[in-house]
Amino acid sequence: MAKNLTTFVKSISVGGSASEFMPADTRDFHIYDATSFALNNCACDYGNQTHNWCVPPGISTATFHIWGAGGPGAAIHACGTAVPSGSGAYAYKTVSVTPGDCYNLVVGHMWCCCAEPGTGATWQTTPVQNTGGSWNGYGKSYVTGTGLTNFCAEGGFSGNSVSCTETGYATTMFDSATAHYGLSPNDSAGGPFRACYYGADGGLRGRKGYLSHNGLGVSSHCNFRAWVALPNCSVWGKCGGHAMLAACCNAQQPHDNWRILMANLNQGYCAGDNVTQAQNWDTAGMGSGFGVSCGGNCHCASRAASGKIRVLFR
Amino acid sequence: MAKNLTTFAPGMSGSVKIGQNDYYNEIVVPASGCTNRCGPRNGDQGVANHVFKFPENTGYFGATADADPVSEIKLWMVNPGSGGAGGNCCGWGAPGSSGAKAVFDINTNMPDGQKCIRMCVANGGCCVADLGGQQSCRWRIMSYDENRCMFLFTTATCGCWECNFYSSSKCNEVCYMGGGSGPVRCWDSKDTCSSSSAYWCNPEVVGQAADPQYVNPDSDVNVFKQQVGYAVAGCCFDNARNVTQVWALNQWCTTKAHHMGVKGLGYDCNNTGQTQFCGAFKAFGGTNPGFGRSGICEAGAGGMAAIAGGGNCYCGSSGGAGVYMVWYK
Repeated sequence: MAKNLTTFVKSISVGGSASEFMPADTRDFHIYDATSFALNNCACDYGNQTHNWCVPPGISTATFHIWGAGGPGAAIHACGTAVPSGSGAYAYKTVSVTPGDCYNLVVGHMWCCCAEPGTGATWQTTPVQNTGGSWNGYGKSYVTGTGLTNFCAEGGFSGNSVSCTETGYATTMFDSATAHYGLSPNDSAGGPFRACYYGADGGLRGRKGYLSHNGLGVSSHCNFRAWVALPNCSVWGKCGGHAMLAACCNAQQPHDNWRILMANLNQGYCAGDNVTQAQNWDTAGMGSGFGVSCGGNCHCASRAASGKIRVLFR
Repeated sequence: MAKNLTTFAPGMSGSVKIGQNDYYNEIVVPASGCTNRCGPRNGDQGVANHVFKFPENTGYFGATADADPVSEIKLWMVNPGSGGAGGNCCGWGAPGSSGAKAVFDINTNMPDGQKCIRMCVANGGCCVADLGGQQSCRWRIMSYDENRCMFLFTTATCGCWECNFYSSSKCNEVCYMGGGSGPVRCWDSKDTCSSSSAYWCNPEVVGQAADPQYVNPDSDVNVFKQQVGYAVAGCCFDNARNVTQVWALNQWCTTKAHHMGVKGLGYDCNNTGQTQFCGAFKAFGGTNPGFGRSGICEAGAGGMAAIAGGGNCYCGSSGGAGVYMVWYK
């Protein structure tokens, strides 16, 4: 309804409404966004990832968009670094809905996932996503309810530790122009360790993070660049891509690395304590950062992002 | 107007760069944060008045006066959100209501001396150590001489409180933010707050508007109603951390309702709403209670309820700050 308030404030005529400036693919829908994060150590202990969404009166169609969480960051050895984990899968599905029906939304979370630093010096070749490892499917986002069957998006695969003692650490791995994916010595961007989606109308698989060098030579502990997998179709109007994160010696604090990454992405970061920062909706599904340790203690690797679910309905 | 939309994932286009390269854009968050500016429960009205004077020249460097006079001005306004519920019995409440929002074109063809508008745009809110939350400030647009109120938002209605909300008998129960006679939108029959008459806020008395014709935000074209917040009780008596708090957001994604659900963040009894609010808005990279929290991402969102275990009083948080933008070219 037009508002002709005064001679000072006039109405916006047809064709000039506020909706014109809203995203065309959301402006005519109701939106329910479901998050998954906690302000303390273990989101899964408190059920922070579970939501119920019930169909309001007058609603006949809903589209569920789901993102699995980013994979768990790998531990960083006393001397070494880590390949960033993979991004979560993304999927969407549209169903007819009945008012009063409720859907169970479970959002993959990124906490409870950081295993203690390992002591081994070999590649961690086994992705823990589907094999009962510490990740154990916690990163998976899914929705159950009428019209949906096995609709889910897996969380990203884990990152992997790279120890200074590994063969080739100072030569073929970090003193060449080859990207290092890390889930096996000959892994590649199209390798098998990528999050999948199921039961959807469409979607995208997760992608891998990788490491490259900085041209400084491996003797420099600032030689490392991590390429972190960005979320799938979640932010900045883009589907995929990587963000670069650099680190020097002993830049191994997981929350600091994540915060720096968020700052690099111009998403801002939290000035609060370490365990609560940068739980960012726009980065949901993003893989982990990384760190570099030059001796001393082991560390957990950088955090990854939680998943999310968006319901568009009308 | 630039629109950077993906066609691959409907609904997931990310941010729309509204007005980019087409308009000069001024974004103002007046007195943002947790300041105690004016509100319906104190007498501080008027502190946060702003004046927007129409630009005389939109030309680039070297342009002479009036070489390129302003031809179009748009005013986008998001009213502050209301406060979340506070309480002193063992229970929880619902987030407050979001602030209404509106977009207007400003008539630029005014006589000299009248080319400005005045706005009362108070932010913040007073934490009241009482059950229920704090209603929001009401933004208004005044004429150049302040003799006429041209537009007045209705206040966002505050959150409610319900004792024993996280008990074993409250499985999946939904608590809306308003009382039984308030602006409650019942999506189902579980409007439990209406039966807790001691724990909800009366709507603010309406009577300050120059012209009641303009008070009701009843359009979905350019004036958008407030949206209620609500809370969903978990099952199995898993304490407050299993309750989902659901806010209405004002992020200009839709002409319809936009809600976000956040669980209890791991907190149980005896936390203020401010602690909860700041935690929840880390979803948008928020900061801390005294530093703007989450900027325009929290614009007009309802405040979050406190969690009380009984014996002491805990306040709900203030609502998200109001924001206005002026575009002109």
